[in-house]
Formats: sequence, C-alpha cells, structure tokens
Amino acid sequence: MASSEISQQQAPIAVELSGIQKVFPNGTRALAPISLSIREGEFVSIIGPSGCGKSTLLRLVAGLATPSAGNIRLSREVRDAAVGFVFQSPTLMPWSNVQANVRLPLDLLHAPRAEADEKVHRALERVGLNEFAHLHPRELSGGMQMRVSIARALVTSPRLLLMDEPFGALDEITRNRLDRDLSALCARERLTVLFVTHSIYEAAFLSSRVLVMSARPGRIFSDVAVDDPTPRIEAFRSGESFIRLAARLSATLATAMHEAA
Amino acid sequence: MNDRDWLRYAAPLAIGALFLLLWHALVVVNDVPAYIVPSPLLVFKTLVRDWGMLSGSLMVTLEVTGAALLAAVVLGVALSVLFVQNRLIEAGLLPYAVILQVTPLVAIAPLIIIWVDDPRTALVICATVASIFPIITNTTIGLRSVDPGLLDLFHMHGASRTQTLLRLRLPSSAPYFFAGLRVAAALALIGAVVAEFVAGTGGTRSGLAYQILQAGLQLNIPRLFAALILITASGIALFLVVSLLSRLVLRRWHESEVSAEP
Repeated sequence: MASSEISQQQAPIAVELSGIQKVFPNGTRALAPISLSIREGEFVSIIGPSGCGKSTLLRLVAGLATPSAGNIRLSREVRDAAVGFVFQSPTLMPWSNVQANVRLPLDLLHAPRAEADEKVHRALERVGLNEFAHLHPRELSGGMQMRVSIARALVTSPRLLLMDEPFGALDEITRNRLDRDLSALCARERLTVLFVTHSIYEAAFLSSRVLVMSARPGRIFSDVAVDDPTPRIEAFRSGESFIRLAARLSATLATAMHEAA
Repeated sequence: MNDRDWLRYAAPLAIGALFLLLWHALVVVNDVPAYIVPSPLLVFKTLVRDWGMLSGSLMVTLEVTGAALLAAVVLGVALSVLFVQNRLIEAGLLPYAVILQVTPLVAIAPLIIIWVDDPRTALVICATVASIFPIITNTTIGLRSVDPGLLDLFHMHGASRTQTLLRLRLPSSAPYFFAGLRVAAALALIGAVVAEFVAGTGGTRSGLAYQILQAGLQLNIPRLFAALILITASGIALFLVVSLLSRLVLRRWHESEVSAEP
C-alpha cells in the first residue's frame, strides 16, 4: 500500500487547476477560487451538496465552459487523446444503433471507417456489449445504455475520463455492478478519472482520492486520500476500511454542509 | 390478431355501410330526383361510366398536389435550416411566413393566376403557399429540440456546423417534420382544389375541381359526387402514404411509431 502511494506521488500531473473561479451571468458565484492537481492514474471523486458546483467544475475541465478567472492545464498526454466525458443520462442518439453511437466521436474526427469500426469493437468489448452492437438504445436497459455511453467515451482511447453522476439514475444492484466494472477497467488501463457523484458509498468504493465540496460558492472543503489497492472488488464493500471511510466522508460532508449554512 | 383488432377495422366499415344503405333507402323511398341527391349506386355507376374523363382529372389534381408538396418540403426545410443558423434571419423572415399563412388562399390565388402565365405552375404555387407553413414551423422547432448533452458532445469533439446539422439537428427534427408533413399533405390537396376553383375557366380546365365546377353548371350531380369522392379518396391515400413514410423512418427509434410490444 505504501508503495502504491509513493508511485502515485511520483506520477506526472495530468490536470492542474489554478485559482479557478466561475461566476454565472446572473451574478451567482458558482465556484470560489479552486486550485487542484490530479496525477495520472488517480481516481478522484467529487462529492458535495447539490448546487455546490461539482458539475460546473467538470464542465470547465472538459472545455464545455470557460472559467471566469484562473486557468486549467491539461498534460500533453491528456490533451492529445480526446478527453472522455460521460453524462448524467446516457445521452445516446436514439436514431442510431449502438455501434454508430459509439463510433460518433471517431466519425466527427473523420477517422477511416474500417479503423473506426475496429476501435468500436474493442470499446464495446471493454464494457461487455459486443453482441448488442446492432440494437437501438431504446431496446436496451438503463444500465446497458450507460455502458454504451462509457464505450463511446473510451473509443478515442482517452487518458482522462470525466464522469458526471453517471450511475445516479440506476438501481443499486446495477450501479454496484457498473462501479465494480469501472474500477477494474480504470485500474487495468491506468486511466485518470474525475468522477462526480452524490453517493458517499460510490465515492468510497471507487476512489483513490475523494474531494468533499461545500456550497455557495463551491470550494474544496476536504481532500481525502484512500490508500486501499485498486481495482476494488465486491469484498471491499464489506471491509472495515470501506466502512470507516464511508463514515469519515459522511461526517466531513455533514460539516461541509453545516459550514455553508 | 385478437377480437379487438378485428373490431377496430370492422366498426368504421360497418358505420360506412350503414350510412350508404340509409342514403340509398332515403333517396329511393322519397323518390328524390338525381339532380338533387343521386343515390350512392348511381354515383358509383357514374364513376365507372365517366372514369376515362375523371381519371384524367384525378391525375392532374394529384400531380399539382404532389409537385406542391414536394416544393413545400424542399423550400420549407431549407428555410427552417436557415432560421436555425441565425436568430436574426428567423426574426426577419418569420413574420412574412406568418403573413403568407394568415392571408386566405382564395384571396391571393387570383393574383398568382394572373401573374403566372402557365396555369399549371400557378396552381402549384398556390398549393405550395397553402401547405408550406406547417413544414416550416414544425421543422424549425424540431431542429431546435436537440438533446443538450448531445450538443455538448458534438462540441467537445470539435464538430463542424455541417456535421452538427446533418448528424444531430436533422435526425432530431424528423418526428416534428413528419407531424408537419401530415398536415401539409392535406393542405396541399385543399390548396390545389381551391386554386383550381378560383382559376375557373382561366385554370388548367382539367383537374377535379374543374369537373365539379362543370358538373354543377350542367346539374350533372352524380358526376359532381363522383369527383368529390375522388378528391376525398385522394386525401385519404395521401394521408396513408405520409403515415407509412413516417412509420418507415421512425419505427426503430421514436416513441410515436414504435409498437407497444416488440
């Protein structure tokens, strides 16, 4: 465990935020100055009360919004491979089948068809959906639709994956299963992940680091390192370390909300 | 197919048959002269006897309707795409589309018929004016009703305007477009008939409306009914064709055309 900590400390920085602020046109201060470094291979969860700016932070890193002040630096490796983004809902094109949905990022980059299809095949394999390539989204369950969405984010072989409460709308059984698969996938491919969630247990299960935010304006209240080895397996959920972590996060979150109020 | 499905088709047919029977009985019992109300049997006989003349007129009306609908679709979709590019363009042009829509066709048709030399073209223009509005409004709403998440995704991957239009906006607008097309198809037929009525002897002298006009003047009421039936049948056929088209395009993905149980 100590060694994994050291290697993580030494890993190069993938994302660096310095003095990021966001003020919306209506004057709402969504984010107070936030500075933060994320190293390659870290699985960073962000939890916090609703309206604390978690999603805004993610959109800023994705380049979907621009900060009012401060700057965001992505490492070369992260920038060169397109950043993968997974939304709260599956956000699939209902008129296209699974294969075409996953191929979309490559199509937009005008990638050659044969090469693109090969990458789609591999991405679907990674989420275990290859046999459903020709179905349309509405023919799939919510959990499967989310897997398609993840395959689409993976198809460009990103180094950084941004996920905005991806499993929030799913039932607990499906969510636990997807969390397990995601943990295995990220550990195997050493992906850097920024994961927004409103579930303390999901954050505790997945993360190598948890950021607890407080609201109005959003800022990082606490930065908790989790040293347990990845990938996490189901047994981790009943282990002492998980339970202690969840209790600690829960207490921190309560304090963060109390301070804001 | 269960009992209920069977009844769903049988019920309207039974009511239709009952109506025809009642109509026939009333005409025969009261000895109504054919120049006031012809019996359905006589109308049918006239339809068969005058088929040579009426089928020619039917083709003319259908051609005008079809050409007008095609023009309305091409122009309407093109204008919608233009509107979505820029709010200022929409703000500038939409009032005129509305003016065109709210001005009764019968009021503008005589002008169009005077201004345009070729009577067939004049009729097509009238029918296009009558049918283009639902295409424009529906398609414009459709092109705007895009999943914001998908729009973000396109943006993140550096999609061009053209890519966003072709791969996202146009497919998103399809259900709205087809809803508009259904209305437009009926309006194109009405427009074609009304325009020909207005044109009178200045028109093509060959469409179904002209037959109705002539039959009315000659008190040939059975032929008038026969032409009327052909117009109604054309409207129903047009509606069915558009519905089929909509079903073929949308059945794999849109709730409106997906059968309840796969």
